[in-house]
Amino acid sequence: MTYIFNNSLQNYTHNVDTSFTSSEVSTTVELYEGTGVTYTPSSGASYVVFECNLQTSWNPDNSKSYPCTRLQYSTDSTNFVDGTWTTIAGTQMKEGSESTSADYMWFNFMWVFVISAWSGERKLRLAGRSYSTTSEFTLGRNYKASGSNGDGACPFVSIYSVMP
Amino acid sequence: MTYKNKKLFKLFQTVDDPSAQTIDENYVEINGSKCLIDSPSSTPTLIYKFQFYTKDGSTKQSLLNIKLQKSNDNFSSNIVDVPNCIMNISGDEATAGDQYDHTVSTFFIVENFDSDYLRLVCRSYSSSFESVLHRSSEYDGSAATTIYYNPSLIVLEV
Repeated sequence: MTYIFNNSLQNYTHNVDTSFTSSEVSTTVELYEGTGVTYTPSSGASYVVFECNLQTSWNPDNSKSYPCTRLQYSTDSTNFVDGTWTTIAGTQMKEGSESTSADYMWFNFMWVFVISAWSGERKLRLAGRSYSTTSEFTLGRNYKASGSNGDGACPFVSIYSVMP
Repeated sequence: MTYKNKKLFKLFQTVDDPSAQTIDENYVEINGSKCLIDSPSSTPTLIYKFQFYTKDGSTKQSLLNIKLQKSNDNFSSNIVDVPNCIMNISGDEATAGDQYDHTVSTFFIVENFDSDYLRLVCRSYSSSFESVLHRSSEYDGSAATTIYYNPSLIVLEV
């Protein structure tokens, strides 16, 4: 039997929030529930990779849906909501679509952020708002074939350190 | 029982504060997608994951044609499309004004890679479907805010 060691990628952490419930997002920047991670990079790491898969739905605005999202960190937050949050450069995006008629769009986002490593513990989170009051959206909505809302579709987050 | 410390090729790279790329009907290299594959294996199998941001251009519709290419001379004269490693990216394209802004996550597996470099190139389907990559002037309710999304590339030998 042969064991192959490949320790270039270390210190994996992940989030699966099984108590997640969907929520509408309007024009105030807020935490995307289920995306908060407390993380300390491995000593000597060159990069940290933060990956997240997340779903949004059109409602309440059926012809336009524009999440404005960013990756942020904090060194003083206790719960991913309070404290001071800094947006990491190069992680901002306005995504979604609009149509000349109602098109009821759903989106599944698969974000990958390759960011420089740091020393010590930080809290990271995805946060965002809608572009306008006419492009609001719902985070993690699950709509079943029976025509009713199901369990929330929680974000999935994976974070790890890349060694040189 | 044997323990091997096998060295597999890996690459993580990102471009900070990239310039906007306007994509018309000519294929162009996507900034940040090119890499040198420096594997100890002569024919490695590679996972190629590249992420970038795209938004509709002046025509407010977008349809991108994307393909993976390889080269043994840094794309100087040897440029080869990797077979079947292609994709289209679009939103609702029924009428002008059907805007579409999105991060694009590409994922390709290249078996028995026999060259030195990889990159992604893209073009618009036609002049009515042009796109702009990496930057946007719209954010948080303002049409005059410059934001950018750093493209990132991960290549792993498996």
